[in-house]
Amino acid sequence: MTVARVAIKSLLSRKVTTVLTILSIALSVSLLLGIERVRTAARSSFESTVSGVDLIVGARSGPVNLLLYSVFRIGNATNNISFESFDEWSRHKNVDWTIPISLGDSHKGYRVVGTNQNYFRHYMHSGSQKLKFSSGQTFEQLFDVVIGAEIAERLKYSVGDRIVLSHGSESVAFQDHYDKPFTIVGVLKKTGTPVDKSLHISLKALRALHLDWQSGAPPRPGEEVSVEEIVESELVPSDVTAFFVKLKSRIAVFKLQREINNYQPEALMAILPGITLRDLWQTLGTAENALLVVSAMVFFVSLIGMLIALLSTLNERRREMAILRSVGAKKGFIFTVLVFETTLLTASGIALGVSMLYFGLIVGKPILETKLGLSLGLMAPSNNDFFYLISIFGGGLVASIVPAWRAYRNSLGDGLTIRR
Amino acid sequence: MQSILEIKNLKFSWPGSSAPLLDIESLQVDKGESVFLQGASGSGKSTLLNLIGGVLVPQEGSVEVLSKDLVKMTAAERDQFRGDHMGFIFQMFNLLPYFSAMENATLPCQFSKVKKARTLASGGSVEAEATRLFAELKLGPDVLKMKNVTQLSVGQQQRVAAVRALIGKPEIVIADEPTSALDADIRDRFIELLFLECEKIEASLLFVSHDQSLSSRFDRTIRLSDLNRASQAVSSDRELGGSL
Repeated sequence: MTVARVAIKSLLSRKVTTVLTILSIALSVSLLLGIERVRTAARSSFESTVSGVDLIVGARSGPVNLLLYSVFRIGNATNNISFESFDEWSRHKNVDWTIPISLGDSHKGYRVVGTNQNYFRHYMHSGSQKLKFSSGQTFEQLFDVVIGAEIAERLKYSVGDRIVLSHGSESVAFQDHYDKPFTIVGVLKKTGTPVDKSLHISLKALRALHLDWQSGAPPRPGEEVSVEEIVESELVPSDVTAFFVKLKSRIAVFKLQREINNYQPEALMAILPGITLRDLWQTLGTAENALLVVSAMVFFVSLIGMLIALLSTLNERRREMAILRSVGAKKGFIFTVLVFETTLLTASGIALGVSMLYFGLIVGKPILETKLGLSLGLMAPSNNDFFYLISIFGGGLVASIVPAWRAYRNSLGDGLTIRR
Repeated sequence: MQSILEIKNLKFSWPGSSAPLLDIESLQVDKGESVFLQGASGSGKSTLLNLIGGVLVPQEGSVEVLSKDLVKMTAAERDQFRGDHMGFIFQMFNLLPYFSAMENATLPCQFSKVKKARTLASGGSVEAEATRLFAELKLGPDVLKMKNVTQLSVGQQQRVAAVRALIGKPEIVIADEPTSALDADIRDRFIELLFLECEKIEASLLFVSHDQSLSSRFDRTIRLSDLNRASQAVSSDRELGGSL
């Protein structure tokens, strides 16, 4: 009892240091757990970027590259694949449905995806969530566009707005398709996937934009094809960038993958998105581990901070210890008081840190969801979290031995009187 | 007369030092006796007090308090014994700054069941006995109420320390330069009150100071330099060295 009273009163008498020490531990605890939360959320949101797709097919390159441009809309395809190939595989007897993906244009840095109605009918993310419209509907007219949630939010677009697409995929596009503006007919609900950052138009519309273009170059003066001059029958896409495949039965997936990879007319590559997503995440895992290492270091530093705070007061506290010894406190008492103090600091730091994390989650949840598409559930601490908390507590206990031992040694040397 | 403290053939040296710091053939303090122990700073006063308090143990000889040899006890037993039978007052900074005057004064009863039992027997409650002692030492209720003992004057702080040393009726009160931070008139009043209270509880008083002028009030004055054969050796060495 006396141990607790002495330790608590002594800590309270050093309010500023005590509060700062608790705060630094709390911050490192919430940082460590917060990073852990973001990490798991990022992984699960990443791995569920695309689901319900058995194969992704594109021109032969690397699997990760194919995944990056077809799903994440990062980077560019080395080659497109012909529309004929796409058409042929779409009609394969084992194939349930396909979604074509045709990239190349952009709008204010956001990628334009040429696709068909299957995209809205079949594309799934985060398990088995289908795409939903927050307003409007899918494209019907030639120059209709459906935009992702983030674009609508950032650029303040809504159904009925007219926008102009640009040629090229860089954020600074070189050439705008001024002559063929699009009308926004639908806005998709937030998915937390790259869909939020995509503009969707039909393959025909994509073709229409480039009717008058010659091998990637803008039309020469006098050769432009105006909207009125477009003949519907001419709008046959020549190629697509990639396509998603859903099989009637998953059992055939490896067989079909092999068939596609050996397809003679064109060099194609089929990948299993789940496996490639996991591979890709493992590549990113280094960054993930780096985050963890950083937060562990932050914790380490805050432990050192606590040690410094305690050790720096030890000298002033030698008298305190001598007084306690003079009234009959045993040597172990001094040691116990110091360990108790440290334990109290660590425990308060952990408690405050966890509260700060949950407070942060409640406040930050909507922000993280809208800005990063990360959904952080308000779930109870996981086993992993408890492991971290126990390690932190253990770390604090181990660290407490240093000042406790110093105080113990001091009090042995000092005895009842402090030599000044 | 029953002897409270009896030191015999004590030799103490710090680890690593070959020459003993203290070499005392005999020191005896009787029950209720007040002894003035005079010594210059650095003469080993603090070490002697630590030996009597049982914080240090001599290499040779015995330190008997209440006929019990501290040397033969374990460290924990010595700590307990000190808490049960001794009261200490130091020169300055006697009080735990984060405890109130009352908490500081009653601290010994937290560590010693013996002191607590004696206090309860005479005062009804630990706080009541402390309040009584505060009054005897002319510390008013305003001092008791004061949250922060560091706001008390040095004289008041020393009297709170005296209450702490006296509570629980220890057999021996050891005061280590308790007045050297006090003004002359405050010092005299403090010593007077200390004497009075020690007489009331029949405690022996071992008062350590370098200030010879205080010695007249005590039953007996001992000069550490006379007592300590080790210091005589050192000083005669010095004299020899000086003459050469």
